[in-house]
Formats: sequence, C-alpha cells, structure tokens
Amino acid sequence: MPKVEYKFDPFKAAGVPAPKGAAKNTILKDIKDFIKESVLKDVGATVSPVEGHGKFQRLSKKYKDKKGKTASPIPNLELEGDMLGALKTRVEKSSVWIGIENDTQAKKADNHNKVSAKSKSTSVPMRRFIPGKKETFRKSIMDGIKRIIRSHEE
Amino acid sequence: MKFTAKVDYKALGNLEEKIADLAEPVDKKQAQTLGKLILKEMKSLIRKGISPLQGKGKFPKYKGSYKDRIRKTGKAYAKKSPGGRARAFAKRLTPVNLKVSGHQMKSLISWTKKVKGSHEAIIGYRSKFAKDKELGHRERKNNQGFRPTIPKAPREGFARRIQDVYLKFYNGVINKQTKKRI
Repeated sequence: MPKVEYKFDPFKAAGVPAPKGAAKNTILKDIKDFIKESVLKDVGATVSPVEGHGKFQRLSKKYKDKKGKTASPIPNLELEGDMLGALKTRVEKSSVWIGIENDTQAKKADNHNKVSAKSKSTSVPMRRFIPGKKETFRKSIMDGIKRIIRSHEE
Repeated sequence: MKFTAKVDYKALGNLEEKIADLAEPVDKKQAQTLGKLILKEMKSLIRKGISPLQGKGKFPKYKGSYKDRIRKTGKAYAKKSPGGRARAFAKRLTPVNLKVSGHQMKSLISWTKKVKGSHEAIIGYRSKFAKDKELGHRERKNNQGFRPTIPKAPREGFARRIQDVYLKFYNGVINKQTKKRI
C-alpha cells in the first residue's frame, strides 16, 4: 500500500531549540492543527502547500463538466470530500506527522501526490498536497510555524 | 588577561521603562482592524469547507435526505428572509460551506467593545435568523453535522490559522511601537 505521509521536526525546520516539558507539547499540538488547516486551505484555494509546486493544474474540460454537477468545478481535490476528510495529523515525539492512512483514500492521495512508481504512470496530473522526501511546506506555512514557536517563547 | 564589565544601571532602568510602556491598550481602530481581519480569515475557511474551530478540520459532509436532494436537484431550500417563504438556491455537495441563501455569512460581523480603557474585537451574528442557524449547527438539530462557526470558551478556540492572523497583527503593532519609542 502506498504511504502518503510526511513527518518533520518543526523546531529543526525553524532552526530553534525545542523547549522541554509541557510547553513543547502545546507548541507541537498547535503546529499539528495549523498544518492541517493550512493544507486544507491551500488545497481549497487550488494551490499546493508544498514549496515549489505553485498552483494546481486546471481540470480537463470533460472532467470539469462532470465534477461541476455535484461539486465545485475547480481543482480542489474534492469530489465527495472523502480523501481530504481522511487527512490526519498527529504529534510523534518531537515531530509532527501528516498523512492518509485509510487504504482507499491513500490510493487516491498517491495518484495526486505521485509517490509510488505505479501512480507516476497514471494520467492523473500531479497535484501534490503532502511534501515528498527532501521537500517542505511553502514559505507562508513555515513562517506561521515559526510564529507559533515564537509566541510561546514570549 | 582580565575582563571587566561595567553596567550602566541608569540606561538599563530607562530601557525597562520603555519596554513596560510598550504594553499599551488596544485602541478602537486597532480592534476594528483586527475584527475585520479575523472575519476575513473565518469566511475564507468556511467558504472552503473548513471549520474555524481549532482541531476540527473539514466540516462533516452533508448526509441523508438533504444530501440526496442536493445530488438529485442541485438545489437546497432556505427562507429568503426571516419569516419569508422558502426558496430554492443552487447548491453543491462540496465544499460543505454552509451556504444556501448566503444570509448566515452576511450576518456574521465584528464590532468592538471598550473594556477597562482598552478595546476588544467581538465576532458574532447580527440577525436572530443567523443566530438560530448557528445554534442549529452547534446542537446538531435535525440530525445535521456538528458545524458551529464561533468557538465556545474555554473548551473551544479559533483555528490556528485565525490565531495566526492576530499573532501577525500584534507582531506588527509591537514592531511599530518599538520603532517609535526606542
């Protein structure tokens, strides 16, 4: 089963030492929620939350007409809402994990994110919403993470 | 080699006074601006089907007969105005954006309140009709999903994206005051 997930240490990414104890847990919980909201918001705005990916490719005319009957006719990765509904985040030690665990939804997510070799051969255009290896979230999201860490320092 | 350090306690005292002085009360204009910024972010999230409450993520999907009706007819019904006749409005299954007639979101506004020499920004609904809608979403009336838009303290809070709006705003205010005074 393709694994569509991303785990990262936000303190390392922000270049600040991690605080100890309860403060660290509070910060990680806030960052976990911030990341989920940011990913959902960016996808809703048809923009990739992953650095360097920019706007999502437009829908084909045929699919746009089909999708537009029951859902918004824009590339927001939402037809019935099952895949984005399955997007989960959690705190793991000093890191934050984001991904999709449900098998059916993970397959869809794989096709959009192009993680597995099989997904790369499908005709679905890449619309990455979870960073791959050596990738990170876009600058505005990383800036928000830094602000959360700093707000707890003060 | 020996190093000695001299501390200018007078200068240090002045600096402490200046830093303490930075904690100025929020004026009405600042509270108004903040309220508007929060509203903008709230509505932006709701439009995309995202709850403005922390940790809730996407709004629960539409279900049951309501979902079936939207799927079949592409329409949902709402009273055009409070007490008015029910009218059909175009509606899609996704995003779950709470919009039928648009009355509820239009009624979501911000205002300010003076509290102990400072000002607070308050977010709320103007009309009773919209307040009832919000209550219906919170209390899951008619078996609808849990989709409140205004957090209930102390157990609920605004989404981190919205909290980020006021973090950015206050950082800006503090930076301005620091530049002015130091």
